[in-house]
Amino acid sequence: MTHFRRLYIAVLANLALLVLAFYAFTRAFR
Amino acid sequence: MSRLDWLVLGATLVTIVAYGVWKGRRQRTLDSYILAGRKLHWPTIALSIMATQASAITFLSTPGQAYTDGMRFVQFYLGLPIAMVLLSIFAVPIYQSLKVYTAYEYLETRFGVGTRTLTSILFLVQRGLSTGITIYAPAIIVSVILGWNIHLTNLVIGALVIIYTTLGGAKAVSWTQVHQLLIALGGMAVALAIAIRSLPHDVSVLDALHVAGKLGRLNAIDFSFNVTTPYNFWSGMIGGLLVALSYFGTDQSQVQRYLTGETAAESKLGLLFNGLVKVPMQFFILFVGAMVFVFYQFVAPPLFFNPTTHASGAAYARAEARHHETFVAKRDAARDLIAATRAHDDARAEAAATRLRTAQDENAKARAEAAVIAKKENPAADTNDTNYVFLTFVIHYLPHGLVGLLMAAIFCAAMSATASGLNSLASTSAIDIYRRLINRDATERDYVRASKWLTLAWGVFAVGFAEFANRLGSLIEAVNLLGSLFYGTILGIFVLAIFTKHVTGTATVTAAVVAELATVGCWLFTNMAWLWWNVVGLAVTVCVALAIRYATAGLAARSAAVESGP
Repeated sequence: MTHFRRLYIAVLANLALLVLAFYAFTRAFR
Repeated sequence: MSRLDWLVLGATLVTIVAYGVWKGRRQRTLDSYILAGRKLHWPTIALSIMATQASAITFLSTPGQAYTDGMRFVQFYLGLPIAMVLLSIFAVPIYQSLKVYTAYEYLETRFGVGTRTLTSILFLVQRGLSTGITIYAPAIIVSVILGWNIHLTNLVIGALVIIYTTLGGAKAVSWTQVHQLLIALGGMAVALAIAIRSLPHDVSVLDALHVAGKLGRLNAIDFSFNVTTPYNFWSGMIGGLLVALSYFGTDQSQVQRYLTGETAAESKLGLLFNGLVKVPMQFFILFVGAMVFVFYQFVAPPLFFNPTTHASGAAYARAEARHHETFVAKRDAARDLIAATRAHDDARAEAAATRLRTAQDENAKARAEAAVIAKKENPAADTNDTNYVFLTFVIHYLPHGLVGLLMAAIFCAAMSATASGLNSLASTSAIDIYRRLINRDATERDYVRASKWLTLAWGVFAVGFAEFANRLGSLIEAVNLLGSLFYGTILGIFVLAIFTKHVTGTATVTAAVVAELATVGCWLFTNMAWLWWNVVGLAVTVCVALAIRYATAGLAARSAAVESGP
């Protein structure tokens, strides 16, 4: 796997984690 | 503002301008003036990209957006990281290998000079007007709240940017943006700390979150699909993705930032870093607004944050009194909610939350009544608080010195977005218009000199438009819409350039015109939320161009068959 391919996956995984975290945040305080 | 605030503001601005002029000294080639010698590394590129997008309005209005509408605006940015990955894979290698100065230069290699010129003119119109608004929008807010002269504020912001952008070109712009963004984010961090510290002593951050959440201000993610609501997960992931692709991939004000990279790898890293931190950064700015909202649940807010919005008469006074009464009811319900939540008394907490929401509705109703009266007395009255909430909080509740820091942060943000605008307007008009169409045989020095004069000219135009914007009224919104109306179509042109081999320039321009008509149709005749217009613009451009390509290919095949027939 190339260096950049790993970075692309990291950026997308970071986005997925952020969405999950924001959703949990929204649910926790609604 | 105190003397200390003025000192902090003045010192910051003078230092930034002097630093920009020093960093950008001795620019003698086009490569160095327009692309900083293509020598920048990814941290500078990343911060420069972020500072270009973060204008003063980002820092003034985004907290206000959380105050009035909650944090759901963060979803607009969800498509951005995906766009950064796609652009790193598809766009950066093309731009870097062709060694272009502007994004539109690439279009000529694929479709011919017509498409290049059309797209660069669309860009010049849209960016030329919006750079004026980038100066005007913060100037009007600051001058309304602080009583400053709007003309002088416009002129000061514009002049400061013009000095270092004209003298120093892209290098001065990118390096000053690094510091401007750090100052702006530092200012926001200070504002967050003060908002939390200003909460009543017996209200913790967790309590504040419960209050904000119950009043619908922490609605960061909404998975329901609805094309008429502006911000939900789907509009962010689809519409937001296309806006980000178009903005970062085809808008010269952004493309120029990462074309300064020493290698394609540096440019890609700059974009990817933006993809990692942009969403959390926007969440943070919105969170500042949510905390300011909670602060105003315990300290009475004004009826309107815009100090020029008021009216006389008994009806207005009644609405104002009702607004205050409902504030007191709201504050008591919020305190009850906090006590019940701490005691883990779910039934009492639920009852308090219901009372809190009812009081909030009543409070909003009283405000709406006052807005009607104010509008009747003065039809030009601005009853939308979004732009005025945050600065009002800063002016009234931050200590001396820090108000100056926040004002410096807002000015820095205004300057950073304006500088990229001027820099890109100059490079596009110098490279795609002057060098390509008007004077093809000048020397390198002449082109640098022309670029400098064009930067100055666009700067003067932007300040002039900011002055004129005062009289535009609601047309300002139309100017802001202008970008959204073109983004889908321009992205479609680039998608055709990158991913198709046989679509011609004529088919692309025809498709672009049809797509523009469709997008304007969506704006005028439907209540589709604006993020979806980008989807329409892109889809129509690509589909119509492909249809023309296959129809003409079919006709050509048929006429060839007739010619070679029996």
